[in-house]
Amino acid sequence: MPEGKTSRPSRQSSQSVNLIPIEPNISADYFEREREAIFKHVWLKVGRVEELPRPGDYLVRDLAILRSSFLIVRGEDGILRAFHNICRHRGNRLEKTCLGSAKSFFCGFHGWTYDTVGRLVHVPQEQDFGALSKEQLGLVPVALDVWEGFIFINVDPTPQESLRDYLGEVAARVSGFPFEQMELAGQWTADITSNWKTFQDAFVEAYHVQTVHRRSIPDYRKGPVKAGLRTLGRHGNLTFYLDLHHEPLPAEGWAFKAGALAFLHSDATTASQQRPPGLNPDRQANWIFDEFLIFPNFHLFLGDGWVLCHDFWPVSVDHTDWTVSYYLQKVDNPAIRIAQEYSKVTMRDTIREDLSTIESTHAAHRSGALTHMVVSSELERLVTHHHNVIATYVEGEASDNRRGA
Amino acid sequence: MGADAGGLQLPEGFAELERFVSDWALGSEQERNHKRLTSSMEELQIFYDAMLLSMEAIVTHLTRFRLVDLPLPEQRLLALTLSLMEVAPAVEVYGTPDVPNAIAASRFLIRSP
Repeated sequence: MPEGKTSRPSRQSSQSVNLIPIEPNISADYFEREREAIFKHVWLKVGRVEELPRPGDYLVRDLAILRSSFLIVRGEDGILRAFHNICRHRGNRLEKTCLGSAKSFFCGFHGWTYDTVGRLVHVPQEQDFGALSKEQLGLVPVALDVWEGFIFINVDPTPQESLRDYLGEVAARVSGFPFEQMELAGQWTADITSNWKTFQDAFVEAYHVQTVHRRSIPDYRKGPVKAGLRTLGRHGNLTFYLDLHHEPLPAEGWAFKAGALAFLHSDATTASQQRPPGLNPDRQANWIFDEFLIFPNFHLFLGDGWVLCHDFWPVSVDHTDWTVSYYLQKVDNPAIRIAQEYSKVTMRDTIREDLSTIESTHAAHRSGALTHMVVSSELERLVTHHHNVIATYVEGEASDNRRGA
Repeated sequence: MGADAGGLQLPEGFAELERFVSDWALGSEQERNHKRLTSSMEELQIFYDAMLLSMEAIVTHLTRFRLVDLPLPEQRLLALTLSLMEVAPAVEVYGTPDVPNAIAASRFLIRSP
């Protein structure tokens, strides 16, 4: 960034407009500052507890943004722990597979062996190391905590806050959602040529729906898009509504008939189950879902009987690894399974439509022709908010009063 | 998924759908999506039309069972309906096998849970 310039969004006082600098989306230097200032100091979601149900179960996560590989393992004592996936001998990568179950972890270089709670338990030819203090050579631990079954890690050696404090009001709003009834129904991944911020921006406003999703969600032609937007500290929340103006398409009609678990439903006020306070907070009949934007890179969508997670993993200033996980309520009835499949396929195809704008926006940003995005303080306030929070981490608290909303 | 002794792969009463089993009774989302993307719109329309005609009977039949112990012929019937849901957006919304203007399908990886 040129000296004296801020990456912080600013507000034009006479209009409901924010200006968001584009430079942070295309600057390799800014990306490095984000890596240091943000990703090394926050709680990052890396999995779900169902992926490691039994003692000895493990998974490995390679996170380019931290230049690190993490071994997450349920110990023989039943407790989940995270470690840097590095042998304490000469620093070789320890576990080479990405998922499995083990009684110990064996380094393929010299055979040093660790147990499932991270202790160094075997060193071949140990006598040649003299009085080796094996108890001081356990795997390097990383802070791990679990919220509603989501596994988070924090590489800060002394995390600034507990996970619960970090999540703040998000936790209270989501409390009571029946995550334990959900099972993974679909997972989609792609490598996207875009800065992670530009990518995430596409999912935090409803303003794009009437254009990008004009085919899959045609109902917005009849009126403006409605969504409730609120900031929750660092995090954000989007409450999405939809007035159906079309006759159900034939397959859609079958989904409605077969199950109450379709993407769209006829009257959200007649909930057959208790909802968490943050889902349909204004008790509207045309509510569809609530989306929680958990800083910095995790989007959690919650609807009736379904969960959608977007994980955005920055790799470089121009490149983001992306995984979408779709969870559905476990059911016994094949007819409801059919309705669930309709929901999943249409959700997936709607997300594919979003991919029509992201890489092209990033490529255009790289031209340098524009210095700022001009966004609505109302409709796009969560776009501004995300960039604002990032700027606060990277630059510290604003020294001037040109803050975004 | 082998056929039974009578050569029928679906439950009785769905003979008109037997011709679709080898192409469309696919066990994973990735396979069903691949079949959708590699079919012509004419092929998709033929399958879609035939399935829609039978949906009432299919749902009535399958509702009698539980997913956890679904017999093989019913599993194939269910797989056909999942394929119907997979191809429906192509036929009803887009008019093309794939979502238009999105990144290439080969870059969008569908993993089995």
